Amino acid sequence: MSIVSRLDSFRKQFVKNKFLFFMALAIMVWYVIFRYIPYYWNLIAFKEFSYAKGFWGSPWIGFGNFKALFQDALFLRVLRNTLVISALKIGIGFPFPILLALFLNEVFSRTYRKTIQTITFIPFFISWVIYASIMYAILSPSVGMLNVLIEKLGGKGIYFLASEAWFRPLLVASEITKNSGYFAVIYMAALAGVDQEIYEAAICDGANLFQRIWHVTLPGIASVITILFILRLGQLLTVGFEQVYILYSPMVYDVGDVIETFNYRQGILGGRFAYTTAIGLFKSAIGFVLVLGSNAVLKKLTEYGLW
Amino acid sequence: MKKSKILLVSLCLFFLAAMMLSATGGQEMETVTLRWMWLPEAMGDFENGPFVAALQEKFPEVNFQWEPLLYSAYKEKFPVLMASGDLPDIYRTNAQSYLPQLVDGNLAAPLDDVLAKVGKDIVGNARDGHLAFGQYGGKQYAIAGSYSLKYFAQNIRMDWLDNLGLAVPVTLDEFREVARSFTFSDPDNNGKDDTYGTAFRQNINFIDSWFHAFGVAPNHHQIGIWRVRGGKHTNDWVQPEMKEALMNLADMYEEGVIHPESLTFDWNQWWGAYLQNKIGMWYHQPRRLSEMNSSLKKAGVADAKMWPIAPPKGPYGQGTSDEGQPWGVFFSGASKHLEKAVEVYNYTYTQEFFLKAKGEIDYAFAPKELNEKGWPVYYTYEEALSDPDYEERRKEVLYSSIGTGWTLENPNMTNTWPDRDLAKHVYQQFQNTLGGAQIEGNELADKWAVTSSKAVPVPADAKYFVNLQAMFREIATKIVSGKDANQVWNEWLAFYKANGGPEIEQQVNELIPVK
Repeated sequence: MSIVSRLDSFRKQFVKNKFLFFMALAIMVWYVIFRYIPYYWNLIAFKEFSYAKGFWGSPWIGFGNFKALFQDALFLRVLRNTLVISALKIGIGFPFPILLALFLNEVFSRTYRKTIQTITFIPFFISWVIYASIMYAILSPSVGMLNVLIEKLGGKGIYFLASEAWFRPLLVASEITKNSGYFAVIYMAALAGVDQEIYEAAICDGANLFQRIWHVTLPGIASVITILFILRLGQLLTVGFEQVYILYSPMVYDVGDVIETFNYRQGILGGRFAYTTAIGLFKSAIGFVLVLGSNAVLKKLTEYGLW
Repeated sequence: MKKSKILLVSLCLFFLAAMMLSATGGQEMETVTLRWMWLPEAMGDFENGPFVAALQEKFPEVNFQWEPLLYSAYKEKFPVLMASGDLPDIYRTNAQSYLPQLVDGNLAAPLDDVLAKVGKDIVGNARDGHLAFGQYGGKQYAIAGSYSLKYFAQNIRMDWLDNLGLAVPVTLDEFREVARSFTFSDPDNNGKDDTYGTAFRQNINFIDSWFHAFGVAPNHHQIGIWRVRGGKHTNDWVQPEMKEALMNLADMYEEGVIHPESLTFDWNQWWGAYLQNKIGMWYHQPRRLSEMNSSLKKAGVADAKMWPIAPPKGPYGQGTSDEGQPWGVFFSGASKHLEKAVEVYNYTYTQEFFLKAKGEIDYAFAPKELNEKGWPVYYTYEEALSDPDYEERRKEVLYSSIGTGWTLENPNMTNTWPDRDLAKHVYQQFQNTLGGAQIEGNELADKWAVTSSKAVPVPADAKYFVNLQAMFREIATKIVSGKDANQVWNEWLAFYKANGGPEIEQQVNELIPVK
């Protein structure tokens, strides 16, 4: 198709759907103003920012802030923590809503299914502040329900939120209990699109429950799983600021201090804006490479991908 | 004839133009816009309060733009305001935290000349030594508030001591023994094992009196206390006595005499534990003792008596920490009307302003009424405890004043006031607001307060302080919660050395004279 005919086709499309184009235009303008134009100010990451000289006058130092980043002993620790916690959340947390959706899909009792779905979905709408309060009430070493139970059974109470051994498992567990219901709904929606005749054919062929799940259900939602997995990998260096900030304390910095909390302390509280912009750019670059890389790999393996 | 007409018309036009220019110029000279930022805890009807009214009456040529920044958002928003370079003409911030950045960025104006010209009441009424907190590189950049910096004391539940038949502890060992009894001997006689000797507030905060027994302290703002040792400024954070103090606290924590959850208590949890009658020793401001005791009584503890005592006497000393982090008022380096801004601020220190604002200047003190001379009469200590309207009135004053360096508790506050009878009246009013616990507590705080020899930050703080502070908090809580003290301490010393500690020490010793 020549350029002229393409333009002609676009013109016809535009005339036909002009209102849709105008609606899209508003969104594009929003993106340009709030997402693309601010990119320019990322250049501060390559400057030695001075309050006196401002953004324009501060001297250019190339990769100086990035070098400082990798010489900062605390940054290397938060990078390690971020990777470990994120890997745990992906490794354990990512399959959980899939399993929940599969379970709910197989439950015959509508009332039971709706009840479970509602119970698992509600925590998603509770803020981390409230959720943390509930966790304190359960895990408190002096009055927490769990510790009371442990002591009644003859054990010794555990200061869960101040324990290096328990902090990461608690982050993963709280993430799963809070967000699994929400993601399960996405998989449930995908499951609704799987052709029922394939199930019937599988039953006729003598497939048991697990064989039906393995050979029919999972392939049926594989594209959704793949897309969500790629997007999740792009967030590998994003653990969730609110969750960690509310739950952590200096007692667990060694295992729980992550890039986002480090960035908050250095940037917002400490005023080191150039340094923390460099951290942000580093995070984005890693996320970008991971999305591209995982998309390419998964496309080869599963034929599904983002584009 | 024609020429004379032309001349006449020309002259008229000339005078008319001159008058217009003069009028316009006059207006430009007269109208001044001043932006003023302070840090309220909550928003009140300040624009209709006597504070603002008094300023606007005195300075009709000034167009005030009030820019309150809620204190709860201050820590996040202030650094961003600094980076934007958009600080108001008059603003309030913490001298300890940001002085180097403010000076470096020309965000704070040097005040020496302008204070000499229009700031005689600020200088004349400043609390002794307070102006030093706003000095940097030999110049004055801030007017630190004149509230007492020495206002922390060790307090103890006297009613619990009485219930257990114990004497007031003096030495560290005696304090430990009392803490043990408060924890294990049911001091409140409720038949439950639900009390503790003392508590931290979020990591190792608010227990400085125990540290001072070892001759070191972290300070309740955790900015570190510096002392002169061997003729040099040295940081308490890295002294061997700090390790000893932390190990001692670890021992107490292990024994269970410190509330087990207090290492992660936030302010509300910490304050709540005291109000729930759970903890016997309290390191805090005597000015809040009446609030503590009246709250305990309202909660049903009829004979509650939290009372100030001398801090524990330990192997290396005895003491409490002074505030160490004075709040002050700065004037923007970019202000076009610096002299007017200082003149306006100076006015808030005058007798005329005090009377026009009806004494509603300091949030901590609420005037009850005006006497026959029109002088403010403040709530007495007893009235504050019993008058049902007091709390409402206090909040009204709290949220309608803009926040200046003025406070009743500054003994120099009325130095420049011409009416000495009024000055005496004001001093008497302050005395009336004090109860027994506060008077004793203030005296003890004044006697035992240790002031850091490093009054202001140095340039290297901007780069290194955040990491060092975070790491100190971490190692302190690790040691207290039972980690291998030797290993953690050695790691901390190595970290301090490799992450700017020596550089900060060098600058402190270069820039701040040893007294």
